[in-house]
Amino acid sequence: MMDLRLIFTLIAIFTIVTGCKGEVMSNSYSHDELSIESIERQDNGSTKIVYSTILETLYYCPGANVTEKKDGIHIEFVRCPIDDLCNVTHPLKLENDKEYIVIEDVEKKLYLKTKNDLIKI
Amino acid sequence: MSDMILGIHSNVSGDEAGFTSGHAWISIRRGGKTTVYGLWPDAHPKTLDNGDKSDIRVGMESRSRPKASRYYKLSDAQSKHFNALMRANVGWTYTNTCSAWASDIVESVIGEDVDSDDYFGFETPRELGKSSEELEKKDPTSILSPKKLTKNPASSTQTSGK
Repeated sequence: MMDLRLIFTLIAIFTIVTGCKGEVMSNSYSHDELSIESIERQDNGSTKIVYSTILETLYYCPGANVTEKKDGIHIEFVRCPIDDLCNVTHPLKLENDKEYIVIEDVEKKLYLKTKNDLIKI
Repeated sequence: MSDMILGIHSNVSGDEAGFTSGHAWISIRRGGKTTVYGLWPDAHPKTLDNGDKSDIRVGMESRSRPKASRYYKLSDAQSKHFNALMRANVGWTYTNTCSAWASDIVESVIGEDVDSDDYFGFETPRELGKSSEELEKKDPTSILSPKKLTKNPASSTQTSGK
């Protein structure tokens, strides 16, 4: 078993090295790491968005942060380290292994906010 | 001759992916059916914490799309060795990651080094993906045209306990 102090030292060195390279740990997904599988209008006026994210050993997606802006509603799926509990406005729900969120009473246009883009969906 | 085809996969590749990004796993195609195996930490919200039992999880990657893959045809001896390795009690740690484990399985069963060593010897999916792509450029494989057996390194049993 590797000494814990050695692991922390290596992580500290790594943080400095990657910091120098400009690599930033992101809490959102890029466009190719996220897939919107369906968007369904529900009878009660809410909208169900079925999605999938890239599988990662050290991260998971707890759901999305949904914010109302002038141009519409921005949806940002959160990439969370496995040892954190990231709070989101719209936690994921599960149905038959499908992950989805529900947004209530959508009147405005929906936008998907990713690491580098804002895409109308 | 066995009808088993071993695959090694990563959903990220190269330096455009982050050091801690992505996941690597292996697959076995047998009798037209594919089964996927990955090493996952108990702390991951998508897994059940099974305590001291093995962190080899079956089926979690069945809907995942790999960015890089490589395939090998197994002999009877290699198939037997593979099955024994999947029954081993293996623990996920920062020094025995999904990539380290997948790379070790291919090394142990096939004898080919799909290298996953990244900074400071930590093994990452992005490095495994990159190595896999480099090997594929020189010697392409696919599920329909897997790499054929050239030697049989499956002579020892890997035992890495928790």
